[in-house]
Amino acid sequence: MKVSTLLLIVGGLSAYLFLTTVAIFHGNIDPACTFWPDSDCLVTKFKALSAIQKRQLLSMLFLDYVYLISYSLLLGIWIYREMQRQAWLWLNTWLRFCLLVVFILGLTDIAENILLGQLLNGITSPFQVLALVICVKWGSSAFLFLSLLMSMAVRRARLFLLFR
Amino acid sequence: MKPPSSNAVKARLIKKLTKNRIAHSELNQLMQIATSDDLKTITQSVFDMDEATLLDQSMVEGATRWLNGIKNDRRKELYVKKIQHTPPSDLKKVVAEGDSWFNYPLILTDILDWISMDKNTAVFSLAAAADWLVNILATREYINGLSVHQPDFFLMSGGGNDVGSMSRMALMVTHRPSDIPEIAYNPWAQHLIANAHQKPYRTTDDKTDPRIPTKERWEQAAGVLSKDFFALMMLFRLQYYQLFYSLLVDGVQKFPHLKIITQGYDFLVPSDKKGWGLNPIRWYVPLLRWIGHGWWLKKTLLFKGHAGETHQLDILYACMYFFNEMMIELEETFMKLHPTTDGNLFHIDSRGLVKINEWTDEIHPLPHKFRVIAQTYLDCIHGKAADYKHVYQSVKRQ
Repeated sequence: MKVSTLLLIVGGLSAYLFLTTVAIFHGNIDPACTFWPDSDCLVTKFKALSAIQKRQLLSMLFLDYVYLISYSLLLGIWIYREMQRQAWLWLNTWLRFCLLVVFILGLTDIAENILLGQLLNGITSPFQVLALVICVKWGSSAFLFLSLLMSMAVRRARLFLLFR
Repeated sequence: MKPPSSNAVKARLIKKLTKNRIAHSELNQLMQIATSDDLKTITQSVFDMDEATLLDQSMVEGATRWLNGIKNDRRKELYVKKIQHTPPSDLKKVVAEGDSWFNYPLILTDILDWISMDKNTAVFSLAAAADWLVNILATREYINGLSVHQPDFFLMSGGGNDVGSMSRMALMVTHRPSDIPEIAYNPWAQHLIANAHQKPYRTTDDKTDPRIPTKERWEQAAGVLSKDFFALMMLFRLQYYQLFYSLLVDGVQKFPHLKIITQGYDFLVPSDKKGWGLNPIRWYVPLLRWIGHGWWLKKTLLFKGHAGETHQLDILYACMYFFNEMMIELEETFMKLHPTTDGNLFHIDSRGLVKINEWTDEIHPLPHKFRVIAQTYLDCIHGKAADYKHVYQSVKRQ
């Protein structure tokens, strides 16, 4: 599969999932709970969901799996390519470590989806674990993007020449 | 023009080579008169397979081929960009053919990756992980690459998989040392040792490196190398000779300014350790050790009854010693035989660079060591002085 195809899939799914989620919540998405939640916030939000909203969210889960696998792959390819262009040994090694973080990110996203599925199906109520998984997910995402930004900045400014 | 020779003489020399009973002068004679068909005959005899089976076995297939292709495609994009945006006077064009030291398609940053980061070097890669020298020379993909791109340098890394793939390491050693080891029947191999000892950088007798065996350990390790090993080394010598001849002598009109750089492997480390550890930076080591690690060298040596860790290290030391010295001596001989090629052949000697704990697996160094080897290539490509005649040593560049 070409990277451009993967990019199209990720871009298309991002737009679709975002718009669908906005539609399900009638435009009311609370970012404080979405990005760095605690279990209390999740409980409150979950209790506020109607039965129809729960079913709508459940119907999106499959697409979300496709999305999270695609974007992890894309992010992995991006980091791999950046690594192969990074001549500064320290950052090259750092980016290789980031490949592991991408794997962790993918795993946490899959775990989040599984837990969300259980929650919406009423099987269990793992709010504390879910909050932890979401925090790890966003934490690793931030780590990856900062690493990429740092690497690109260093490479473009040719700062690595100072450390050779 | 090659001197004429009767088929009977050639057949006799080929038979002597495959039995490891050939004199040094006879090997030199065969080297100059052997044709491609003769090399095929020797190859079949050394590998004990017919040509079709051998090429089938050595073919890179499946996921490895796919991943190799992806990496090479990416490199081609970068190559085109450099050709487009760098003034030709500043740019060195390179075509590279070889194995996983040149194209490791997962996680690692291999030699060509590091070389490609040099803004004044454009690399067109035909390299493929798991490729055998016999396959590289049979498919001759590099001829098309060289014709199309007219590079300044042709980089070649081949031979490692011919020794280590498909448990072939087991054929390179005998079960136990015999009264008269095979090396004693091979005056050319003895010449290689003598030749190495005349050089200022010889790698034996240096007490500071634990990897260098004592005289007794060396004799023990060299004593278990089989006739198949020496036959394979001599085959490599003939194959590389023919490659050099076809490009630098026969092909001088086609590639008038071509220079060739050959790759010498470091002393490989037989191991079946899984590579687990607390260092998160080396997280990928246990993962990559799922791919063939232990089966290339360690276990195959065990099958032949060579169990001691030090003894195994010494055997690989001897193998890589002979491989590098074979390349160095061949290039010296070639440039003497064909003086117009003087200054067009170089060898990168990586021996002694990678310490025992600096390997990703049995046969691939960690990326930072690949970087040092790449720097050695870049020094050669950009005309820095060699360490000894046509030899560049990576160990002096870390």
